[in-house]
Amino acid sequence: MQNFNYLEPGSLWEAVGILEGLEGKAFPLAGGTDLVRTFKRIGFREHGVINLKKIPELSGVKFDGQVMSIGALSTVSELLANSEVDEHFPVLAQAARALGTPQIRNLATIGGNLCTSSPASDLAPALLAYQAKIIITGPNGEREVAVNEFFKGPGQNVLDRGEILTRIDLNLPVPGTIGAFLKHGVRKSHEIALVNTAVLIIPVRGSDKIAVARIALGAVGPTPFRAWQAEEQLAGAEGGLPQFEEAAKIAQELASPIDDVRASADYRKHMAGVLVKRALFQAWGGKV
Amino acid sequence: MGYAVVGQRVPRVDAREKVSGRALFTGDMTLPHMLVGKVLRSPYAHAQIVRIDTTKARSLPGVKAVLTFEDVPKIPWNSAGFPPSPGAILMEDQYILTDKVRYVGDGLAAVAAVDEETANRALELIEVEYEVLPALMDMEAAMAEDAPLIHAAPQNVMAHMPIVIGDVDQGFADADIVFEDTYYVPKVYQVSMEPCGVAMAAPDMDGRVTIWTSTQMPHLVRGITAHALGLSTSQVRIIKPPVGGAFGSRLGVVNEPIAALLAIKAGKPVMLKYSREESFLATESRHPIKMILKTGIKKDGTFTARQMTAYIDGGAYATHTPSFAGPVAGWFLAMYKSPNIKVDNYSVYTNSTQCGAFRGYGNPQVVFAVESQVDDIAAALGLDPLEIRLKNHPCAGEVWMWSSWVIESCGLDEGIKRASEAIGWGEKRNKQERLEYAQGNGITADSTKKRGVGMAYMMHVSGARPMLHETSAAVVKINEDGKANLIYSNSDCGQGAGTALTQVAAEELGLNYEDVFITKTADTDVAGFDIGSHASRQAYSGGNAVKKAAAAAKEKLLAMASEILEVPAADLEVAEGMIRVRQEPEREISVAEVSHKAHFGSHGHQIIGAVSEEPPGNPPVYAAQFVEVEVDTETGVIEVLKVVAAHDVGTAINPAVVEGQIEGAIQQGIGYALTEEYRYHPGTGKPLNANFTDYKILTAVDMPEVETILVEASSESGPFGAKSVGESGLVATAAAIANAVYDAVGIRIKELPLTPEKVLAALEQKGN
Repeated sequence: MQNFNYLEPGSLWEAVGILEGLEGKAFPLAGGTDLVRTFKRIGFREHGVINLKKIPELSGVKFDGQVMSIGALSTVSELLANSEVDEHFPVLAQAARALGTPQIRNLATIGGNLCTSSPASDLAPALLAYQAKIIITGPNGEREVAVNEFFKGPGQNVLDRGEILTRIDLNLPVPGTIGAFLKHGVRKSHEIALVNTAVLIIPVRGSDKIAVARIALGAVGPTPFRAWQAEEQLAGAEGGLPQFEEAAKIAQELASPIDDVRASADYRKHMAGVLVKRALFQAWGGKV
Repeated sequence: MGYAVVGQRVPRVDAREKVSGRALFTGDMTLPHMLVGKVLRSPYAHAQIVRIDTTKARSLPGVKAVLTFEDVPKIPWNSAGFPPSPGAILMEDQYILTDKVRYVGDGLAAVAAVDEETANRALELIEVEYEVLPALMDMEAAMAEDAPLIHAAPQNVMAHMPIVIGDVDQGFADADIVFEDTYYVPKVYQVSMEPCGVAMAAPDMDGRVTIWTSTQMPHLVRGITAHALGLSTSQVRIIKPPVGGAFGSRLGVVNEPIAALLAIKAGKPVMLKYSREESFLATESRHPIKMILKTGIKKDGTFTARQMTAYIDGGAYATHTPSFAGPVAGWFLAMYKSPNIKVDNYSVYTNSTQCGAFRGYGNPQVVFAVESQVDDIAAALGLDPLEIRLKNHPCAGEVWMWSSWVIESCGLDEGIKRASEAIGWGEKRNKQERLEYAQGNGITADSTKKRGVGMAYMMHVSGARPMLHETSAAVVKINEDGKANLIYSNSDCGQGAGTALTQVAAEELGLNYEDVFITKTADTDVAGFDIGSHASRQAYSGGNAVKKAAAAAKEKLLAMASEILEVPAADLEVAEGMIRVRQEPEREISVAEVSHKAHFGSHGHQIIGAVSEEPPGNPPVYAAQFVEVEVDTETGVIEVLKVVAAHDVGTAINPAVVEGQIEGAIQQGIGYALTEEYRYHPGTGKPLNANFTDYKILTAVDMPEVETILVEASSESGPFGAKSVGESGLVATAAAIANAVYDAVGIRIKELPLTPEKVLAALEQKGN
């Protein structure tokens, strides 16, 4: 163990002040599942740790019948235990279930998962598909960013100096919306996705047609992203495997994965297509 | 069999302390004034150290010792835990710290400081200048004519072991068909939950040093450590607390000499605890081997010639490798009968971390190659894959080529029969049935999933005789309350040996299991010499010594009871702590009363039995593992659905422990087959996955259904008929999976692990 500076603000504004004053020389601590790895790798000698867990404004999950507000400190396990998340945002629940292990889910927070800004985040594709809004508080007050504008690159996001992600807002999807989350890794648990995808489909009521489709992919680009062109392909189309295959092909072309020890870029790209096809098919009622 | 304690599923002697978290492992310990040790590791795979300056590190407050090559005894040594024996080829090419680094992570300096942060700062203050040499990361590069030498061995070949039986050329000429295939298996790690490399050393005022260490072999580690330090064996005392898994990784010296030398230099206790990353970087793993198999066979399935040329990647130091080449040959020789057999083994240095022992000791590598090829041979000749194995494996009464001794017992045929029935071999084999989960549109996304079944067989040892000595020592003393201590160098590293040996002692003594107490901690100042936990030997070799020590104590006990009861000792029997006259069971006396009288009656002595000896043989064990897989031809993912493992273990002293050993091993076997591979950057030699994020061991969720079938073909020579089980559970698993994949989709992948990318490439090549 190594000595390091430790700060524990009791309010949001105190935390913002500390973060602003330390000029990026402090690591905000939420669940710590990623930070402890950083600590082991580089140590905190030149930096401090700001524990955000004592800030009341960052906790709690609220649903008013239209908007689900998820405090940044909500753990993945809390999301899974919340019956309203399961009922109204099942794809987010599926993504949460795919994240890490029970022990990691007990600690990891939704805010931490987003701020870490890993391209392979399991929650991000689901939040992209639900068009989540990210609420940020900083020295200049509160601002709101669409989740698809939040990520800027591996480990990078729009947070400026002194800013804290405080909550995530999700609008209730249109009734009849269907969806699926699929993750592909070497293992079934305790895994970083080689590819993951979340899809939502809003069918045209009383027909086999698709009104709107949303397709989000993770781990196959510098950030998690929406496959807009693939979505457009499906808007107004009949639902069915040939259409899903076509959309998957487009989504696959949008993927720009890397080669690394976990998998080759070629395999990741191939799997991006397979996963999107299977997720759409599963959402539509087929069995994968 | 009618045993009272042997064969019972009694709770393990260490169960309560471990499940409650109370067990104190080496890394949990502390001593007053204890310092923290740290090792400076090379960032280069191959480099000469031109200059090393420790001035700044030495002057940092809180630093109590700094060591480099300059400070270590100039005594070359070999870390492998072998007793000096004819079969041990122990090239001494290591020093406690090196002046030439030979892999990324090689230790070149060590410090001891008052705390971890100070120790880490001290490492940073050590200035090192390297002359970087080319990194030889594979055997081809290392064996090239112009390759730089890692040690003095020409072309970096540390040893060549040729073995010839009969005339293979004639055998190939006699064959109807000759098969030739090349197989490659990668480096994989044991990854015990307690990282490998935990030692705490404390010097005393009399020139001795005590080392608490997480080891599999206290006595051999004592001797090697003493040698490396320039001490006499008895000047080192090894204490082995509970060990959090080993699987071969602790089969010899790990970091005990560094810890001891730091402690001696600092004059204070030192804890040297490797992190998970260091455990990957700097400790021994399974050997990668390239195996070229050439097999001649008649159309009726009779082998005419078998040949293996193996290139064994030993890594940067010899340690086990030249000796390990012997068993590698032995596994190959012994699997199938043939009049003509030839083996050529080359042990090669590379700039990767030295390789050593990992559960199976070369057998999983060889069985993957041999059983993959036999499967192909059966398919090509239209032979039943079970029949070809049953026809050619060595049986009871025949000579087993591994040991050159006669096989005592064989349960393989029964195992194959029962396991094939349990997996549904007859129905599932070769049906290639497509699973139609068809829904909607008439086209399904998942008609891509295909199932298959496969199997593989293996034989393994119960100790390493006659290659090595297998000495064990046991003392059984009966206390005045009639309960007994079993003093034993208990090298249980989680496998349950301490429990099995306690059962053997209790059975032989006629005491209840709960009334025999084994020394859970091994202490070389207390227990007699024992080789340790290697070669699946503890139940058989250790059990032999324990049974005889218990028998010696029992003989004295019954002699005394015979005096008291006034009947000949031969007429007495003892069970559950009571001694009875066989024909008149109402005449009885408790062991407690006899022992009390022995201590405090007219005799004035304690009843003690003591034995130190080698066991009489080395009975082989057999296993047949059957696997059902589902291959997704679109993703390349292989899912293992079920494993049926039939193991002939001899008498199962504790069936629950035996099943646990097999199931745990199968988890490692599936990892070996599908996901595990330790990788280096081919240019720089830097490890790419020295962590649990990217080194993929399987989780509980990944495990399939495992059905264990115990075939108890008892040995003649083992304690109560025991043979072994420790290693054998994973030996056949990868081959069985590869064979099931072949059955499912018709692809033969000759290189582990069977990754989705290799599956897709093979399917594409096949033209799916």
